[in-house]
Amino acid sequence: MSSNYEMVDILLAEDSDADAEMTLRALRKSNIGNAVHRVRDGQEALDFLNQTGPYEGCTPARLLKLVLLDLKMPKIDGVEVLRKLRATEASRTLPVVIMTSSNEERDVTQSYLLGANSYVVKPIDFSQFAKTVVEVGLYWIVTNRVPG
Amino acid sequence: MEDTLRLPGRLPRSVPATPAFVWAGVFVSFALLSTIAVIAYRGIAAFEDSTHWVAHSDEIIAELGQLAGDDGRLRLAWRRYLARQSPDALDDYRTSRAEVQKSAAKLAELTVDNPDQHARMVALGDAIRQDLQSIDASIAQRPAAVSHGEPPAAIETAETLPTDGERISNLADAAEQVERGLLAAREQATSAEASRAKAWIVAGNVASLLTLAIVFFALRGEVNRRSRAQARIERYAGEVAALNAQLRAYSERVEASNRELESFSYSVSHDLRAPLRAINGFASMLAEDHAANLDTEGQRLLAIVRSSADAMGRLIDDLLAFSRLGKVAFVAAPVDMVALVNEVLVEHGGKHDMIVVGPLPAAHGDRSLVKQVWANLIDNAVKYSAKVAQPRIRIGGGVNDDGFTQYRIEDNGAGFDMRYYEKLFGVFQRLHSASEFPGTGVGLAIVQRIVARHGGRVWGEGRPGEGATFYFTLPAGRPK
Repeated sequence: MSSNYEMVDILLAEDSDADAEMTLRALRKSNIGNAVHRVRDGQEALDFLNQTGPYEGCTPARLLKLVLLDLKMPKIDGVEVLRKLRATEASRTLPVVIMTSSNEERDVTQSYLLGANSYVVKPIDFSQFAKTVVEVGLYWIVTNRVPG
Repeated sequence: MEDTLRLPGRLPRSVPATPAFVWAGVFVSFALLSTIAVIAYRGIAAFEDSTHWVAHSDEIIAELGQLAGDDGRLRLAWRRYLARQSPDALDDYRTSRAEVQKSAAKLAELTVDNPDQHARMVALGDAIRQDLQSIDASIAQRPAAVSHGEPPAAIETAETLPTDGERISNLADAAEQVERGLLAAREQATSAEASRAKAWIVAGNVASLLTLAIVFFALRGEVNRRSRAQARIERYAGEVAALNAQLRAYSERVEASNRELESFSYSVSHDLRAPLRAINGFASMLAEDHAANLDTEGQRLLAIVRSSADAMGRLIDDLLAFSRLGKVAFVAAPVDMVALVNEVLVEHGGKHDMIVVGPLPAAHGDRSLVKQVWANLIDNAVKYSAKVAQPRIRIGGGVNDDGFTQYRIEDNGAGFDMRYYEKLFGVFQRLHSASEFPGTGVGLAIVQRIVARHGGRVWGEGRPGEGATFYFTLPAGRPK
């Protein structure tokens, strides 16, 4: 059952269904992200990017422009996913935005040291949350240019 | 672990220099032994000298004996000659005559150092010379009989002769008596000198031995004292090591509990906020997507759900900020307060016409923490004076006598009732309701905690409806 993920431009790695739903809703309402794919943990994120595990044989997301990465996730956490992405030639320059509840200084520092492109703390207030998601999406999908 | 205990300063860390009594003892012994050496040397020298003089006297006495013997032989030979005019007797006489003259000359020479004795010897020599002249004259009257068997008649006896051997022997005896007297006096003097030297040597040695014994016992006492001190130091070192071990164990426990606290606050930060975001988010979505199905009351209730979630989010954030103050690394440096306050005002944006900043002396502290203090105080001043027609905020400061600087922020806002002053700096304590003025009640608690961490003080004055003034002190900006 191989699927075609060629058109996916945003990968959302988020274990919380509520956060995922709010994020998707905000993106959809602003018409950003024609094809957002959501994964529930770090392992699935890596499988999706490497076409391994359940994603074996799938068409890779060649048009992927952004990874929205939560830090605290089951199995493999966001920091580890980021480390592996940066260690792989194909995903070394892939824009990765950390979206997390953590406002801890050490998480910010560590993410930047590992090559995160941005670090965003999810606001609790929904209107601010939606605004933040839209700003991030607009900037990285529309404004930003990537190599190649 | 850096915080190790040290030995108290008054304990002898190193053994002090040689004690004074050792130096004194060594000096006394050295002086005594030197004195003894000088006395002994002088005693030996005197003894040698007196031995020399005794030998000298002995020589004079022997020479006198020699002279007396030769004189006797001289007279005997002379008589024999007078009796028989034999050439043998004449030869004997001449031999003895030379000896006597030699002895007389030698005696005169030997007594040069003693004028009295020398005079006696000269008198003796004169007497001998006179006798010898008479004897020589008498011999000249009687030529020797050569190869004649006949002896001439003995005409004169010795008694009739002008020479007198007894005078010579008396003179020699007198000179010998004097010399023997001198000898006895010298021996007595030598013996007295020797006794004195012996007494000095014995007394000096005894005194020196006593001094050394005193020094020895004092040194033994000193050694005991020092070994006791050493033992004490070792005991203290043991206690210090034990205390250090305790301290290390304690600090490990503290570190462990800090780590626990940190992971606790991390999960608070992450896990408590996620559901709050969902509550707020889904209430918002409900309001947005299903507004048509909700009446006014329904929308009001939803709004309460959302604002409550927001409030709890702020409480969590503030509580985390407050708890983080304890572990933030503290870097103290001079802080330009004017620049810092302007920075805070710029970050708070706009409406700064109403804020007047006076001169502010530099402080010594952690810049980011002090900035937090100003941010919270300025926030409060702006917030509580927002409802006044013409809000006015004045910021100023000065230097106190005690090396601290004092800062002041004054507003003409809502103020507070001094009756509730005790609650002012408590965590989550508020003097106004959230509907009057929003807030969680952590701002002033954070201010107090930061100022206290700098060793400063914070206090406030207020009257309801007339405004409030907050003061705080910090170490002055000139580094020591």
